[in-house]
Amino acid sequence: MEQTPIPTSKAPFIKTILLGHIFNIVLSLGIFSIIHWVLNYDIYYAVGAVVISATIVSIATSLIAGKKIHQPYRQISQELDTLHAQVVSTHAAYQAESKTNSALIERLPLGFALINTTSQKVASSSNVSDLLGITSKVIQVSTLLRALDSCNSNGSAINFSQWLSTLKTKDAQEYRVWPGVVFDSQKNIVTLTGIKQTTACTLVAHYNPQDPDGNDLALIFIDSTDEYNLQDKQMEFVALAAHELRGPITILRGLIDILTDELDDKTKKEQETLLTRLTVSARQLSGYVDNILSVSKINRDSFELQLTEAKWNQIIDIVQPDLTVRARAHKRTVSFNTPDNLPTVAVDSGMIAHVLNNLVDNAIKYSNENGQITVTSASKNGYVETTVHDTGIGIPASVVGNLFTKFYRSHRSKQAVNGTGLGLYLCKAIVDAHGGSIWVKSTEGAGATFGFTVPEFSTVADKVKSDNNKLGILRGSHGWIKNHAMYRR
Amino acid sequence: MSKILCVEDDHFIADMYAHALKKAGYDVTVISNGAEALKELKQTVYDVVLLDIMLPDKTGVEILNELRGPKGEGLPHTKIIVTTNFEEADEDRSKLEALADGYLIKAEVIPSKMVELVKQITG
Repeated sequence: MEQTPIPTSKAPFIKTILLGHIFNIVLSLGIFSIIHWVLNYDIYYAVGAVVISATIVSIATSLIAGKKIHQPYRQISQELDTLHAQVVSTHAAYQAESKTNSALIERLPLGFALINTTSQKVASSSNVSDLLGITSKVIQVSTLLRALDSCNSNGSAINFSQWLSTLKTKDAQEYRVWPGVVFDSQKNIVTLTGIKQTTACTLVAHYNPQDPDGNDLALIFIDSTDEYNLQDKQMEFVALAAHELRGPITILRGLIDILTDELDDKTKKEQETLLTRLTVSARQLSGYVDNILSVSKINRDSFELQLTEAKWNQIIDIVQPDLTVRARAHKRTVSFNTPDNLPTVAVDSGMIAHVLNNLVDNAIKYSNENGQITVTSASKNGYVETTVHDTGIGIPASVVGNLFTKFYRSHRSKQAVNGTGLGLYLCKAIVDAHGGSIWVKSTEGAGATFGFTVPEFSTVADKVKSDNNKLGILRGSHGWIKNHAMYRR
Repeated sequence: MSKILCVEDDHFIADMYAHALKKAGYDVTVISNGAEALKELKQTVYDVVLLDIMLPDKTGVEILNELRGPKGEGLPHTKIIVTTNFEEADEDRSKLEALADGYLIKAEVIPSKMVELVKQITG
């Protein structure tokens, strides 16, 4: 902001000097006339002396009277001068503070934007364009909202544009936070740890349609790029460790498999239960390692799907026996409602099985003993939608928005339930990569329903065929075998 | 009876697969390094080779190159299945696809599953 000079007037001083000179001239003329009249008895000089004396007396009287009359105004003037000096001083202090605050804001890893969505005006801190990867120097509201619209909202149940549109329709005021929003930049961004082309922010948004200045939308971007990069490095280490874990897991699962087979007719019911629990736990451990390795692939941008035409019933049939055993081992029941006439879908069978496994595992973890889990599939607007419903402890509304975020674990699960905090993040990544969507509905204390969609094959057939022609052998979660029916297109 | 060669340096894993395959009726030989595996395969014809990709002396790709030869025509009657617990490195992917008959993640293939897969390959 420019400093505005406060004027100081010299008029009273000049006026005083001028009046002083006039008074001296008149007084000199008066004295001269009196002396001349006394020496010459000239009537004209006498008249002159009287007139001039009267004038002097009049001026003197006026000055004395005026001084008395102007006394209060003079006091007011002095007070105004004092006040003026204070205003000048305060203004200077404010400007100094404002400069300090501006410098501080520019140095903080935060971006601010105040938007009038009606008049399309925006006031923002200079680093907003960097955080959002906007190349133009002057930010337009449309550019800003487009950047937010296309951002990776990292698993939030509702994205920014949906949120804003809903609030505008309802004319309601609301505050919302999106953690881990990733922006891909069209330019290199210099940060403390190097040059990047991707930034990660926590987005805090407040919409108030009744804002007196018309700035209905306020946004704060908290830069968490470095934190995410640190997480990526930690993830690399964890992935390396996970690879090492695969060796003992192979042996553990293998030996349990052999023992289960060889002791089949020799075990008592209690021993069978113990073996089942061993099998389920080893499978769960293997699942955690798979999740870590898959997330690591996502981080390295080497996560790829091979979509093929598949019958949804057959995919459910593959995962159903294992999930049923897992539920039973934890004293839960899982049932599957899969209509026979569902259209074929375009999926990577191994990866989509991960989604089903993770969602049913979560339902098992967060439901109560003897709880019922229901997996239901249905055709819906060009997609096959599958929901996993449990009657467990539910999820508070305050944490729903974070559930699909990497490493996020709710306050309850941190202590009560095992997990890596990667399962739902991975589910979202897999479903997104299929071109579907994933969501959750829950009431705390009354269970939760997770749902996801995958596209019907007919809607994406051309693209799938084209993509598959570019790829080599079809891979499954176990690997691949040439000319094997399981891996043949 | 189909002959299976299991080339695996972790003897827990080797014994585990060998145990299940023998029980299913296969003639199984276990070898724990690349040099011995190459020597054995020059002397004996196997139906299936389960080849660990990370051996102490050689990598699976090196052994595959030697077995299949420059034109990839060596051991035409032997199915070579690479076994690993690591993902395929991008640079190895095309070589493995060209030279191997399969690629299995050991942690995902329990012994009963391995028997099932070998039955399908040899059947």
